[in-house]
Amino acid sequence: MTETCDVLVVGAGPAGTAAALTAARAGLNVVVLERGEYVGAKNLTGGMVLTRVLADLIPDYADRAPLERPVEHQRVMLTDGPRALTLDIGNATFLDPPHNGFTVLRRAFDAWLADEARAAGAVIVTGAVVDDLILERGQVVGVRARLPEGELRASVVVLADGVNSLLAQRAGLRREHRPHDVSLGVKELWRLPAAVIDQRCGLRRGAGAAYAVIGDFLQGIPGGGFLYTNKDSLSVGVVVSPLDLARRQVTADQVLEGFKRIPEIARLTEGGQLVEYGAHLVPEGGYAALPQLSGGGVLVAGDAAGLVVNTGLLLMGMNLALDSGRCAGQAAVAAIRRHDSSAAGLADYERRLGQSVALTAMRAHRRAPALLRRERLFVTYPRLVNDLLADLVTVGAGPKQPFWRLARRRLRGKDALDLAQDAFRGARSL
Amino acid sequence: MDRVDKLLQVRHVVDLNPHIQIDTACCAACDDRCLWFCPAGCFEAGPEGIAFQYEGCLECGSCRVLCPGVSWDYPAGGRGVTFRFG
Ligand SMILES: Cc1cc2nc3c(=O)[nH]c(=O)nc-3n(C[C@H](O)[C@H](O)[C@H](O)COP(=O)(O)OP(=O)(O)OC[C@H]3O[C@@H](n4cnc5c(N)ncnc54)[C@H](O)[C@@H]3O)c2cc1C
Ligand code: SF4
Repeated sequence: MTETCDVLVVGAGPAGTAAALTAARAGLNVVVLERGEYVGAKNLTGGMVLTRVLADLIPDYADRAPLERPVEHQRVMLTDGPRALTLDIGNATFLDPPHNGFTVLRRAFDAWLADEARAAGAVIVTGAVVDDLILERGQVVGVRARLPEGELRASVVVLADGVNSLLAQRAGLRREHRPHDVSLGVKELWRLPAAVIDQRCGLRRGAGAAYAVIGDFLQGIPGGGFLYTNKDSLSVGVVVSPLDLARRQVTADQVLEGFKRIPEIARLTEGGQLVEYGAHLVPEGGYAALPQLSGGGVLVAGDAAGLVVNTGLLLMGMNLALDSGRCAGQAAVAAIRRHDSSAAGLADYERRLGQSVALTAMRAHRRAPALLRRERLFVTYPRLVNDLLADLVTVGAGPKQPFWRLARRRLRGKDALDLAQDAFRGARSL
Repeated sequence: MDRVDKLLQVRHVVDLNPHIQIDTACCAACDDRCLWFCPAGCFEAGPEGIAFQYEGCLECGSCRVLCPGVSWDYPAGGRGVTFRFG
């Protein structure tokens, strides 16, 4: 028997759930198929979710969502061996609505989002792998899933199946990722008492910090380290280019071990208990690598569409997933009301997305991917900055020289043109 | 800390059918990148070339993108890596 619905969503990550929530609220018949044992089982993030889109979708989210800590401090750390320069960008107003970002753990967060969609009327089926799309006259009309029903038909299918979207490829909307367009994230979760986290990270009770770290621990591999404070755990990991791991013959886990050995990081995790390890890809091709976002009967949202911005200091994917999912939901509603879910009928999605936070951010940061492949950024500059600042605070043998003279000497060895160029490019793309 | 100890902290619901198959024909022309990019150490260099074991797989997809010899599919519904926190 074939079941039928208005909107069928593949994947219950933030993109899929936002699409389902939006369409279900408009009174449509919505089914979400998720391959995990439960919602969130397959999902892993840094991570901090920026709250602007979340607040639009669910205005009272802060009272109900399983949020870990509101991020008051964003810390950028440049390390060189045992030396670390930390820039702390603090904003106490981020502790109160409308906040700015919260740290989250995905199993709880995704499950809650899915419950919001259920409450709006969407049906969410877990343990259901979608294998293929059903095509009729070039139009997607449903999916084939590993379920007793086998086939499910829908007026609109939303592909929110994440970075490994096999379905967007099968639909001919996306090519395979090029190896240098993906980054590999590995992450560990360390359990520690909340009060210890507050104290070590210098946080008022319950407030959060997000660390973005670059330095020689990366061994020249494009990427970065991160640390996020949860209520009673720390999310610690690195995001690195897998192609460069192979080139340097080092594993992501070894880079992560090096990251954790930085004294400034080691003192934060000390004495903690490792409770989980995981890995996940990040699509980092940026604006230039965006696939076709819609076709007849089908829309692509979130990581499946490559909607991620990595500025080197801030990785944004969840908010773009929520935003594109919402746009997909709206476009599906509009198309179904007009009884036209053809490619032309759904083209409205790209128009909506064009004005969204998601695509605006992608466009604004379109130069970041190329910039972030430069090795100097990850080794040379952190070292240079640490050298310069060490000159300020240390006294060697001989008379103390004025800072400007030392700085000029330090900079003389470097290719001033490179530095100027990167500074210019950095300012333009971040 | 050793990766093996880390992997012990990961919950897996075993799928008896391997979701990844590898064809080692392409190994001869390769730089053995799988030994480095796979975060679960599923690929190992053995006397008869690369040996692959799907059981500890974290389903990241790196081998899908970086290895031409891999045929990759999702495990059965509800099976495979199952994060408790994410
Ligand atoms: C290490 C790391 C750190 C990150 N840090 C941050 C951060 O701090 N802030 C931030 O905003 N973003 C961050 N991101 C990015 C962010 O996690 C993603 O962009 C976001 O999760 C994408 O959401 P999504 O809904 O598109 O996809 P996903 O969350 O991947 O969801 C896809 C869903 O589809 C399901 N699925 C896939 N295929 C099928 C199928 N065939 N049938 C049924 N179900 C299927 C999956 O099981 C999954 O539940 C980070 C990513 C990583 C890896
Ligand atoms: S999907 Fe990732 S974890 Fe699994 S075998 Fe491939 S590279 Fe290793």
